[in-house]
Amino acid sequence: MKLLRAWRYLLLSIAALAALAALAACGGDDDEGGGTATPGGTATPAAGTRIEGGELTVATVEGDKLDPHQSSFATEISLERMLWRAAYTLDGKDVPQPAMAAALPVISADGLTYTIKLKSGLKWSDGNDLLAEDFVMGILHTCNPVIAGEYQYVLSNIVGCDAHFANEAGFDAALEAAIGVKEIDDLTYQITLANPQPTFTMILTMWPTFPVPVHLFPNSSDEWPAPGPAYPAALAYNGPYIATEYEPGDHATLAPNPNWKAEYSPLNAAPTLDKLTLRFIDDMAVADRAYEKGEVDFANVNLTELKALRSKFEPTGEYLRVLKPTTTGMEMNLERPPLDNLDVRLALVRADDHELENEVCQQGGQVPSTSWLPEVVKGGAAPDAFAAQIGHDPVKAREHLTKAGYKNADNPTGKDFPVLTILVRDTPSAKCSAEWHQEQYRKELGIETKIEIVDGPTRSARFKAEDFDLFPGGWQQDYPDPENWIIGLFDTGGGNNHYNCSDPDIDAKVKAAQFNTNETERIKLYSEINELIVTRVCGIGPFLHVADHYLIKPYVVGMGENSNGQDGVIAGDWIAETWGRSE
Amino acid sequence: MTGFVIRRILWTIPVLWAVATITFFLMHAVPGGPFDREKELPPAALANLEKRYNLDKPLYVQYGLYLTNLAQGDLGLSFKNGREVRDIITEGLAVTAQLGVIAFLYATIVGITLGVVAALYHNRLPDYLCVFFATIGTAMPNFIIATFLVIIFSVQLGWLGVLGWGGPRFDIFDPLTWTNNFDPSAWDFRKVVLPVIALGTLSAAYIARVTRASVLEVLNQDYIRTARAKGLAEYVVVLRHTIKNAMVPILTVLGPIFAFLVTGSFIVERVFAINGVGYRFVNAVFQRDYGMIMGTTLFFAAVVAAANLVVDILYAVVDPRIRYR
Repeated sequence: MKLLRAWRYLLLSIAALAALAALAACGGDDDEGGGTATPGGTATPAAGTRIEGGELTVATVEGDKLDPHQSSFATEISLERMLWRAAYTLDGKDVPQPAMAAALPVISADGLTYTIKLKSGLKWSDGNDLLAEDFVMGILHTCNPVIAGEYQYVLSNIVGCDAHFANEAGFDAALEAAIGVKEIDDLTYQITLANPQPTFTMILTMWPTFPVPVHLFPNSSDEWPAPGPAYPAALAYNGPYIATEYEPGDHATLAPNPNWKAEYSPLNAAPTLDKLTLRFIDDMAVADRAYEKGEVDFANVNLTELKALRSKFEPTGEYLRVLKPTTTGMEMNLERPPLDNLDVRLALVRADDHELENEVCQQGGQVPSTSWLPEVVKGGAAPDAFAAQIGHDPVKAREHLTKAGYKNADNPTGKDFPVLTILVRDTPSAKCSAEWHQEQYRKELGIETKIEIVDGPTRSARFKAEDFDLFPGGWQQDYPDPENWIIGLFDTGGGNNHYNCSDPDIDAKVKAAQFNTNETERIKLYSEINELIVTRVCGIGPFLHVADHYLIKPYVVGMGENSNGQDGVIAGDWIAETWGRSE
Repeated sequence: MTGFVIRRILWTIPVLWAVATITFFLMHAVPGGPFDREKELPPAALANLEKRYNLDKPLYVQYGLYLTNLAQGDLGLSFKNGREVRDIITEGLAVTAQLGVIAFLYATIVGITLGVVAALYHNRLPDYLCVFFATIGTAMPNFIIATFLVIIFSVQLGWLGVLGWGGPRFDIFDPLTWTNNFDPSAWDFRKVVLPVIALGTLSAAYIARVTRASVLEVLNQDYIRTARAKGLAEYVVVLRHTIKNAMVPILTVLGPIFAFLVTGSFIVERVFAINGVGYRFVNAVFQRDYGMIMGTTLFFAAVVAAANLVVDILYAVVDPRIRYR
């Protein structure tokens, strides 16, 4: 009987513990209340005195590839810029400066030939000499069709690069030999362009031009290893860090490159950390919990928790907000009536209250705007620059709809407006944005729209096939020049112009700007194009400039101070040699 | 019995072929491909990528190539990072299997205990508490449980870890090296507890409900009344006559639950940033990583087939009335 009682007590105890665990789990409260965010406001983490040594663990998202000549995602490029550098690098103001090069390129009088002289004594991390042939191979590798680099297009203006890349039969020695890049001597190489390109020095800061260690990969078709445990030892590096460990899906560990010199950095910096760990975490909410627990020293803020996290960490100086060169807006398929009618497009744009949408769907985290080009981009405009033409104004919106002949509160006898579909990606903020617009159109214009929610690849495929009416989308800058925001996006037949913007005025100005070597004139042209895009709603009605939101421990130095938004994945990751600890 | 087992194993071959074929064609029928991006690729870049992964060939040729490689044990490459799918699965499996097996043990022990207690104390407080747990555990999604557990026990109390799995890691999974699994010093238990509870609670609740119903049914049988009338001790009645006879329905659910747990959980692996195979599979679907989708689907099909086979064999062990010819 005693045994029976003990056995029952044991069972009861386990049952009670299980029930308690369930109840404890119900006791939590994920409070998202907090302070109000102020667009444009920033806080800088307190920077103490830097110490030599120490470790940092940074939450980030893992990229796919780890060959810069194949890469296209910001997450990949973030890590690659820690491991390699091009001949040139952007400084904190996005101006190209010599990195591995000894000076800015010598450009021929016709603007077609760039001669680049490297610094002497450059070494790969494994001790081998870093030579001009390595930089030549970097370009040949990117132009090679077998490598299938996703950003090859930035090298399109190099003579022969497109011809080889588009060769259906794959690698061709003769086509490769015809590419306009050659080694002059061990420290000098030369690039020949098809057209003068004012932005080409900036292109030479980009990852498709990073050098290839020819002593490890002697042919342009040689594949770099896939990111995995064997990756770190199989490569040589010329960036501020070397990879020491790579566990896919979990983390990468970096250490300072012994052959890096501060003079290669635009900020004259060399790593002071002993160890830098990139912890791969896809879910920002998880990264934020790890930050709160102290398991990582840096994390991006999950936008749906922005207000709560901001109110918690802004007072301690751990919250940082950086405006990023990204604009989102409502893209409209101009080949689908009634969106071919400018008045209809203006009605839709003016019905939308961007300020309120930012508060409702973005936790006040972004910057409402009426300009496609952000102010930080040359030729860009202030967020309210076009408020008079496309800003929120329900009365004007209804006037435009009336002018287009459609029924609304001010024009009850007009014709019925067709039901348009908003094609949206399956994310909380995207769905919120779609619902917001649907409600705004209903409230201000009295028109109905449908929302179609799909996953990312489906949405991209539908966009490419031009199978959409309304499409909340946008653009993130690849390099800091207005041409990157306009060419291919708004010129007739442009590769990314799936909203079918076709405006002779825009086309003429793009043609005049693209290879214009007069910088003032070029920027003025892009500024005018920006105005045309916006006021004619030529494919997109801008509504927000995007900001990044970071959590950085107070003892971290060099991150917040050197973040300018171009980096975007981790604060200041394009100049990660400045990262360190103050304790 | 041996013949039955061999027949069942042979049957898995056409089953796996059917799974591979259906998955292959469904995958290609879904809109969007592995290289559809927010920022569209230039046509030449897209053409080169498609050539690189044989996507430029007709679908039937791709299918033929896939089956040929599969027959040689080659699951192909991930379209995203170019790694061998086999390597990715084995790495993820090493973690997922540890998590799944421990969660299975937790679910089984807690579930059966609660179910038996509830049945023995039918319509009394312990029964109500157990039913309450079972209801909560079934109704509450594991991402809610996981998030609450992290906030309470990791962030607020600081007792347990947030990121990763605390088991010993293998670069390349090898069943022969599982000895590490039994070395306590190789484990970080602060990173084990929460993922196991988050993953196993739903299963524990389900097992508790099935166990309770099954034990109640057996307790009402004549032979139990007879055992009690013969004056057997209650624990003998319960352990020897009740639980054993109540096990058949429980075993029926344990097989699928085991397969469910050891093949990973997208949610739990995501919430705890655990590098397991469940998360990779769902990610592969979102990214249209055809190589990974095919590899993981086949792997999951094989695990489910194996789990069902084991359950069928256990039926015969537990209930001698069941015979296979």
